[in-house]
Amino acid sequence: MYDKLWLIPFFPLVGSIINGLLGKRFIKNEKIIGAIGTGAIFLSFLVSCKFFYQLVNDSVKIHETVVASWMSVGNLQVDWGFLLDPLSAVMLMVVCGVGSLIHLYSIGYMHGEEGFYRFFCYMNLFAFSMLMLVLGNNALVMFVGWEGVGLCSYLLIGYYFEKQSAGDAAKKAFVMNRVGDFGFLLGLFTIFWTLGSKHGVWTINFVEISEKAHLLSGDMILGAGVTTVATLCFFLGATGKSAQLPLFTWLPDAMEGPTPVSALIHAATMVTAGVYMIGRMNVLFAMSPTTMMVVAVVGALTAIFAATIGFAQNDIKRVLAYSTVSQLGFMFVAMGVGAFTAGIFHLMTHAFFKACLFLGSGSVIHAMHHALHHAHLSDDAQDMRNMGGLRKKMPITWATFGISCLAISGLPFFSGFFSKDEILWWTFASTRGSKVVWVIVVVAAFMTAFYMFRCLYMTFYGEQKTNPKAKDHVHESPWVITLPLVVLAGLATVGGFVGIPHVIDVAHIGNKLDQFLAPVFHHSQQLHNIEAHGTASTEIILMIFSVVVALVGIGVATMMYLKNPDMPAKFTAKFSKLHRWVFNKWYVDEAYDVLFVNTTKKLGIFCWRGFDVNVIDGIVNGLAKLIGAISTALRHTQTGQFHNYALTMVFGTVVMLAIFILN
Amino acid sequence: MSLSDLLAMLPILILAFGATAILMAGAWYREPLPLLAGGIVTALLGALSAGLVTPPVPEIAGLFSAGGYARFYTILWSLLAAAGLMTGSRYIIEKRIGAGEYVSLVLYAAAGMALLSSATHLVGLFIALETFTLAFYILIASNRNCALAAEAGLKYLLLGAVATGFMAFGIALIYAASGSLVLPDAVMRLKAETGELQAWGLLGWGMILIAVGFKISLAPFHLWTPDVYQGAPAPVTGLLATGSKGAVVAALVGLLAMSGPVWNDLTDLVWLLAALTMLAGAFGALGQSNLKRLLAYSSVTHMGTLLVGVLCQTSEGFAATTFYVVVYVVTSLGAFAVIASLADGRGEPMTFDQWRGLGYRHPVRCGVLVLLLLSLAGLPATAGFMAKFAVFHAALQSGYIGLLMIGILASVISFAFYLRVTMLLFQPDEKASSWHQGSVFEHTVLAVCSSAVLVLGLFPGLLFGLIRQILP
Repeated sequence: MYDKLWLIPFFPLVGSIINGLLGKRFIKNEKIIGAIGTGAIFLSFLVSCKFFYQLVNDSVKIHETVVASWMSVGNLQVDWGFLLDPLSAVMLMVVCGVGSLIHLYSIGYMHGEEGFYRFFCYMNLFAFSMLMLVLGNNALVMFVGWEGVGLCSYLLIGYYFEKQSAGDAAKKAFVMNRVGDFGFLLGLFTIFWTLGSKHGVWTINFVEISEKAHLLSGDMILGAGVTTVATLCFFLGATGKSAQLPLFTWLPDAMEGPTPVSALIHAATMVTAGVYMIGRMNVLFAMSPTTMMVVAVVGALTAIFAATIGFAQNDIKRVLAYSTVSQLGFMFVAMGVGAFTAGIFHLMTHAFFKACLFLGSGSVIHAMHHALHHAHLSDDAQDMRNMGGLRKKMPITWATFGISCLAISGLPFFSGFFSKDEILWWTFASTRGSKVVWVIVVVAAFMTAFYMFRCLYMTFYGEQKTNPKAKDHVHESPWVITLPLVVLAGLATVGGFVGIPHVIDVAHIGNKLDQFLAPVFHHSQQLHNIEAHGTASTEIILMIFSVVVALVGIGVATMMYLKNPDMPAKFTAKFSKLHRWVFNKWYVDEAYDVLFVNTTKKLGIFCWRGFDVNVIDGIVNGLAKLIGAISTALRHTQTGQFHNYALTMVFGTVVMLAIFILN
Repeated sequence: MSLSDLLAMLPILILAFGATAILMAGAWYREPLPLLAGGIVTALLGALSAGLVTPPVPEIAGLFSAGGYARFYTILWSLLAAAGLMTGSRYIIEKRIGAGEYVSLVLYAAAGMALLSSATHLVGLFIALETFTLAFYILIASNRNCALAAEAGLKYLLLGAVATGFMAFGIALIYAASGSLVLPDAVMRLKAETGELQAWGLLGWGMILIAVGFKISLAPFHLWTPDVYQGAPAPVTGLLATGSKGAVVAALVGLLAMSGPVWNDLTDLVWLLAALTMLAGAFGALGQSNLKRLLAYSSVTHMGTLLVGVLCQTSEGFAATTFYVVVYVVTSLGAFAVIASLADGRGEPMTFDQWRGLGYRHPVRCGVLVLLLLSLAGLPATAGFMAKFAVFHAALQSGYIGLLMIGILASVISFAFYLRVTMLLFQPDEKASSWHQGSVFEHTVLAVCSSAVLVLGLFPGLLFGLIRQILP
């Protein structure tokens, strides 16, 4: 039934290979390359739909298939195995669906770029890796995908590798991800080793780990529970991949990549891998209230911290990047308070509206870039201070961007409303929740509404501040760009209805997503008594409160950026010091440079100049010099004179005889 | 001497009588090509008869063996003679050297080497050794117009005479101690002796070792090697570096394999000789700026490594040594053949200045040279690696760890000078001049040598299987 699961990652892999090997020399044609790339992921989408449908109608919700054995070393048995359960099914739909749309969009956006084939090769390779990550039935296959998406992220951020900043950003992303990956591996080793050595269960298979996790409950390591230590390590991996405190600084820099990359990798899919991973290992996380609390607190702090930075950015993509970091924080809060379904729900809705926002910004940048290029201007095509008033020029982009802004702000009954509200409710009412975290998250939600509408107003409303020469060359983008926008905006509007909260479910549709994901999450939630309990009235009051908060945020933004365009300048002048801190991202990058980058560099320079050059090279070169000197000395025996040779022979004979006699 | 004895001696007879016939013919007939062709055919016939005619007796006149081991080397040296004639053909034609003499001397040398590798009597051993040494004295100095060659010939002659003296003295001492000249009886009896007589016998062995040390240039008896190799024409050097040394080692291995471990009292001495030789060769080669001298030192190192294999005195050691001899012969001959094939009116390319950038002028032959040098260095996938590996493995099995370390050190050092030549060949140099294009004969030899190096490197089992069968 499910043994053809391998087809899903297979198509993008083939697409990647074809475009990578043949794209430059043989295919060349952009249309064909784009069709292969988009077609590959679309085929995966179709297959995913089929399996999704099959799974929905299946009474058994967890299916594993093994394609081949990977390695068998001692106690370690690893298969190329795939796992289809409701969690991976939802992820499949998001990755393939949003992925297909973004691939389609890229055909238009990347038109005329040098290395068009390279772009699609990497994008497909990314899709392949992401699908391996999602589908892997054991931690090692997941890790292959985990590293694969990291690699593709690196390649795509550095797509414009001739730009110094792009190369640096790629490097930064890769290194920070590696820090997280280190944590992931440590967590994996801890679980594997403890389960194996203490309980004789040598496995890295997710289903088996989930079944046997209860054995770990009493085990200690380093003075703490094994599950706490291991899940904290896993969470470190998640902070790297999903750009949470303290490893978040790479994501804003990652905007150096082409905009479709930002939409697919750095908004909709890869960065959510950390959330997915926690969902996949929810049994382990649920066992450790400590880790859960850490996850919730880190998520909340990231949500508010990134939101503050979003206030002051003028680059449209950077605003969205910080918004992504912030929204990922929301998801981690959900995971931390035990609202696993809500976390995955927000992951999904976020994929819709954030991908739409990014693609919308891409559409704007595309148009701006062409206009500026046409007028031979070198103004920044991404700076919102060069935009404004684009509503008339780019109506479709404006409409979809606006809808997504409403969704992310959590206005009823857009998708973001449902998912965010569920997170807030669980944070407030869950047995693992916390009122403090709730307050932080609410403030973050207010800020989100504010900076998103600031972004919307600066870009699409008011006077157009584009250089007059380029002003009239700004046009709406072609259909390959606008079609994905429209589809995503539609999803951002209605996507929330799969998870209608019980209290407002007047039509008794039920929370479909919660029911669907129940086989994955309910077991651990019940076992560890994780639930949200409160009265229906409380829930409704909180819901209204959060809507009011969002509306206030929008209102403030409207006042400052639409009604009184002079106000922000006055504001910044008044709080110039604060503004400088916020504008410079609280100087986190600089602090990291001083603390980690420079010390590491110094260590490296010491190892190089101090140790390698002086000691190692000294030994090697010294040896070579010594041998050369011996050789030169020996050459003096070679006189060319016959009697010297004969004398040496006799001398040798005498020595031999001496040895002989002594023996 | 019966008819069956004569039949058993057929390969040697073909070589010796063929040589004599060509010498005679050369006195009247001065065209070099037919004489050369006759020589090559004779050598090949010798090899064929050794390979195909089954000897009816195991031993001839109590002097020489006719067993598989002897046959094996007879084939190898006959083929070597053929190759030597092929590489030397252009040399004797261009330098107007008497083809009759040259060809016959090479064939005599081959006969001598074949006899040496199959000697079962100390007198037979002595005769065989002197036969080919004598031939080489003349061959080295065959170009009488070249002062360097004459000097080389003289040096070889004088030092060779000293070595011969040691040899004769050593044989006399062994005879005195054991009362026999027959091998391996003389050696076996020596083992049984005690006291003074055994001491005399061992002293005799020491003397023989000195003579052997000269022939195969073990340190400190190696000093003649670079001078002679440089002075002698490359085709002759090719024979001198391979056959004259290989035959002696073969005789040593044959003797020890027959008689069992007899060197127990001499192991320290041999150990020292091997270590000293490997290091002296490696260090000596490092400072050279002349390819022929470098190859001379390289041959010194290789002889030291061979001695390690002999020292093991195990069947594995003997097999490894025999394999090593074959590989060394093929590789070293090829290297000198490259030099010979490039020689033109200016002489042979020798100094590094002459070799610089030659890889762009003569890519094929310089590529072959690189392959052969890498094999000499012992790079994996070449025959040289397998040979070195086998010897070192045997040394490890026999517990000669110290010697093994020294051998590896020498190998590491030797990489430096082999690679320097390799690099030199492909340094861009505008001044690099073109040399001779080489004859068909020379290219044939190069093709055979380089393919043998590759085949033996990839499928060493082919030869090892044969060697295990024929070792006495």
